[in-house]
Amino acid sequence: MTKANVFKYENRLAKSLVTKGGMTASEAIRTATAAVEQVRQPTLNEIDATLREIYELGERLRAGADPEALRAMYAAGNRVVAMAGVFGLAELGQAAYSLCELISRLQTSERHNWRMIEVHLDGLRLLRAPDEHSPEHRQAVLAGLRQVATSIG
Amino acid sequence: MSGTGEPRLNLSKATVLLIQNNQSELDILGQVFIGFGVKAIRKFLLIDEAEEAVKRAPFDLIVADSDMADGAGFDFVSRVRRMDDNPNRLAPILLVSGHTPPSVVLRARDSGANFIVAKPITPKVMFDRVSWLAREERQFVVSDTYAGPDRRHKMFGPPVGTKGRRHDDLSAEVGRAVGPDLSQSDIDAMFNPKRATG
Repeated sequence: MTKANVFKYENRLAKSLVTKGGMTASEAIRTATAAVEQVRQPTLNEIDATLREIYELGERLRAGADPEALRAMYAAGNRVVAMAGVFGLAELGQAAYSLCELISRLQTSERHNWRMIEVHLDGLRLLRAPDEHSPEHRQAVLAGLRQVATSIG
Repeated sequence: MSGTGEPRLNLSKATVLLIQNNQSELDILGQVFIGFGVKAIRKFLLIDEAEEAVKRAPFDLIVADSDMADGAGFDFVSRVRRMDDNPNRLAPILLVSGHTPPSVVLRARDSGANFIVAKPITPKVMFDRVSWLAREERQFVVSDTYAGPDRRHKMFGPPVGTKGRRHDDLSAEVGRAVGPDLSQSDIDAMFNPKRATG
């Protein structure tokens, strides 16, 4: 084992720390939130397209084990995780995260369980329209999904 | 500091490189940095193109995606840290990740990223992390198996059961004391040095 070379270096971002000018956190978050708002509709469209992709992959998995479909569903679920929470669909993002967790565990254990996947897809459909359900109902659905996903050791 | 004591960041002259695995996420991230006042943003969907940009110009911040196929985001960070012919070997690098099990966190850390941030990337999350990165004072480590910021956030010494590989690593075994004991004020001064007055 050779010695590690350890040295100090200039942090380029350090120069952005200022005492005057620039933006405070609250100012930066306000302007960034307004900027992000400009891509709300295209992103919501993309979320719906990704959900449709997930449901179509679900049809392949209903028929039986399909590692390629499972990988594609994981990737699509991850995209929902990334997008949903930015535009007020945090619970949808959490359901997608649970789906990714489930798929990861199914892959690791080399198991196939369509019912576990199906209940997640039902959860995604429900949480895409959060206003149609009470907060208690939504939280109960999420708790159920997490329980299903983590039941695979 | 401002009158309210809030930290301030001026990113108007910062150059930022963003790599994401799809256009929607890239657009969201780009808008976040536009909102932060960054004017020079380079956005990429393809690792190869980002790598070419990294070789050509220095960036003040790189944000890469750990969700790219086959771990390409992690590999990109490792290559940036290892490439001799690029001005970004020491650049601050954030990895952003969707599903983030412990294995992803460890892989991000071992790739040489400064930090991993869980998606969704909201303006608040990103501002907090950029502020944290701006205050980053960890040293840089280059060894046979790793290149990047020191993975030890706190000085707990070398890993258990090893002698350590750094010239300033100390043994976990404490020898017999020599010389007089330090007084409490001596100890306090080591942890909280103050400028002498008078």
